[in-house]
Amino acid sequence: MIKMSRLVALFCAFALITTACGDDSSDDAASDVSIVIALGSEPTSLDPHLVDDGGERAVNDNIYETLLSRASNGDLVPSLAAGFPTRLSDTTWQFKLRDGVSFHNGEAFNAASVVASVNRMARLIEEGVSDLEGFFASLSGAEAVDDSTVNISTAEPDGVLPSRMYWLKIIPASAEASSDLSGSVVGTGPYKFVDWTRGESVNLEANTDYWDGGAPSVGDVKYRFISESGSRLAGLLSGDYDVITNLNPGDASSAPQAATALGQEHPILILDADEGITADRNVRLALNLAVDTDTIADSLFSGFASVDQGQILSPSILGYNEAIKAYPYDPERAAQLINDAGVAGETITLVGESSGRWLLDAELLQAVAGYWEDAGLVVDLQLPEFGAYIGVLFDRENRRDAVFVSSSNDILDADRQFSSYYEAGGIGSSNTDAELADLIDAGRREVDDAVRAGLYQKASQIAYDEAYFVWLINNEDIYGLSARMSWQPRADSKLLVKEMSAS
Amino acid sequence: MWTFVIRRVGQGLIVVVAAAVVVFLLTRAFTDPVDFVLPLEATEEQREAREAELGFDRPIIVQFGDYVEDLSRGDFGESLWQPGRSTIDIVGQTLPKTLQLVAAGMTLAIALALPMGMIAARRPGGVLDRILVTTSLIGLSMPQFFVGLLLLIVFAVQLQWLPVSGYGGFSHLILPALALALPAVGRLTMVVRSAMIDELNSQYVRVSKAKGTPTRVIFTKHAFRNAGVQVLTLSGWEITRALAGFTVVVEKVFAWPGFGLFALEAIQRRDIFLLSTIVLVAAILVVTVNVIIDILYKVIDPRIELT
Repeated sequence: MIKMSRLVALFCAFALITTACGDDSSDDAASDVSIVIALGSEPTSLDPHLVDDGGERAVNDNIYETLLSRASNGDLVPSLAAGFPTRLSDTTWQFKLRDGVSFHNGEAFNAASVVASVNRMARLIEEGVSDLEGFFASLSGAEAVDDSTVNISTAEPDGVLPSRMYWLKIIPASAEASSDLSGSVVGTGPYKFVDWTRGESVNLEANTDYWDGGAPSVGDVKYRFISESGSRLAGLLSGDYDVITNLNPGDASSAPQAATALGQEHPILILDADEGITADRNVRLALNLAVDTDTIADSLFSGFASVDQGQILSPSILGYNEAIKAYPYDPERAAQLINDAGVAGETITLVGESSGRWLLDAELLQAVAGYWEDAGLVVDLQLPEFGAYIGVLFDRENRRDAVFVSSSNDILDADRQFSSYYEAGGIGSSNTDAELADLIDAGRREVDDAVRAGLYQKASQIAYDEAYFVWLINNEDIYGLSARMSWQPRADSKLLVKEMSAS
Repeated sequence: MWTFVIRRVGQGLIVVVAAAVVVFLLTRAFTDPVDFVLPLEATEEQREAREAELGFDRPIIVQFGDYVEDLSRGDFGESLWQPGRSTIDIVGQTLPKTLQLVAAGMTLAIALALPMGMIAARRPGGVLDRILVTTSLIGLSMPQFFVGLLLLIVFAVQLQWLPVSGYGGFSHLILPALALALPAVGRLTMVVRSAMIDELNSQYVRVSKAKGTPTRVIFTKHAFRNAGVQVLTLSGWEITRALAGFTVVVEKVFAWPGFGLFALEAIQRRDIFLLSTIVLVAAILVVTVNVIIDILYKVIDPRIELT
């Protein structure tokens, strides 16, 4: 489908020359401003506790709120909680709640709403119907101390809890028993749900009683679902849409405005540190030195990516290690190391996937394979379909030399990526480094942020020194905006309409 | 006549059942939707729990038995992609939109192609004929997504006369219907033209011309009636093709929330339950259209024996 969008871009370049593509007619009063957002996929459900789905979040992030939220740079900040939680014990956290907040249906927000939200999530997980188990399975319960104080407990000491509370949307207490909230979407947020016509649109209207500063500057919001990226771009150019998601890097210059933010997507290659030719640290080092990540970011991703600084975390995440810098591109040294290790001319297996699940993933691996060949190896590049690829990625018995994964980090906490790919025994990890595993385990249990950050920085340093991975790039999220829009995208990829304005 | 209809419906049922069985077996044998649906980092236990919940841990023959039993009770299963919704509800919501698109597109195609083909056939080799034939050839050889994008860029992006995409009022229907119609106009025009030329050159037309029958009557009453069978065959093929999912390209380009687009989404999201229902319904539609076309042959040309 890339071809189609290229075609649109080409036509639109032509269109721009002949007529004004963007529509810059201005509207009158700010509160009357209504905008249209084109998403790549329709929400599968509007229940905030059931699905792990980008379409659902794009809409519900404007309707529902959470105890903690994040500033646009990724830092945790209080939202429905009046401040940061205090730790009563290693497994119990106390949240003081904001007063004077009410749900769109008039119900008051209080400790009962938080207890209901935690209980409902636990029930849905137990029934096996929620896709959010990975985020909330560690919660063991919530208890109202008084109307505006609530204690949340976990089964084990859980350093991730504050980030989890950034992810758990708070529902009214009366909704606790519901099995599907898609038909009754009621939150405390800046926008109220109006209607959802399946296959067509979701409509929201401004919440004029919003607790944080009253009505937002954009009044009505309409979401449309346009899976073809070329059609999204065409709609942006015709003035039908004001914001479109997942603009192709190659099309960014055709849009009236392209807005970007460094996202959480990190394509990396997991190297088998125990067997095969990658068991030699010098070979793993060479595989890093051989790849010109600057050129990949600038050419393949048209500059809409930055080079990974030798770690899987984005700078916005607690535990990011500023001291680690990307391995330089040094093809001579790479070839030398390969030669000295006595593996020149040997075959290395590199496995990715071919369904196009991630932006330009196959092209990225073809580029890497080319660089490795230049360093003196024979690359067996395998791009099976997604199911077969997942089988390889999670095959604990037989680790391949190098396996691609593009890991995203929704809740902006280091634990998920570290425990999945860095920690020995993790579902996609290829090393047996006990020291590294201990650091990650300690990080998960550590409830003090400063200590926790230190543990993760050390873990990143070990993985970097041992070159357990080939770190490639960190993708930018790219949005297309109409000429009248003004908006700076966020590190957590949330589409918060209250932060947008339109003239 | 009635024995014919009953026999064709019976044959159609076999086709429908075969399609359902093949899709069931292929989707179960070659995909594992659980890997796709769950987050990438889901644990092995989570995967197994979800497989058990969906019943994928049982032998395929048992799963098929349950599927047939559920179908016999009118239970088409729940969608994997849109949890809590019955797949037949999703089909019920999207199919009318595709039918609307196909009806508009095919009406447009036939309404354009009949006069174009007849005009071209009046003086084969003449200026009008050459223009119409060239236009038709361009129309039928352009890939549908290209036609769609071209219409979209000219009428929605540049001229801004019509909405760019999505489902809505009549104005939303015009561009997708046109995109669906244009290649079909090309094909149909060529068939109408050649069928008419054949008929106009036949003995009986020359005789009636010699007898002084007006050209208009020869065209509409005699020649066209006989050319109609060929036109009907191709129109039927166009409609079947559109219903069997070939609207998907147009639906994708114009974000038209129809049957084809949802079939594509079902494939991409590994919603094998929705896919099975879609294929089943599509097979029923195709068989139905074919039976109707066969009956129409008899109506148009009573000489045709229905066997």
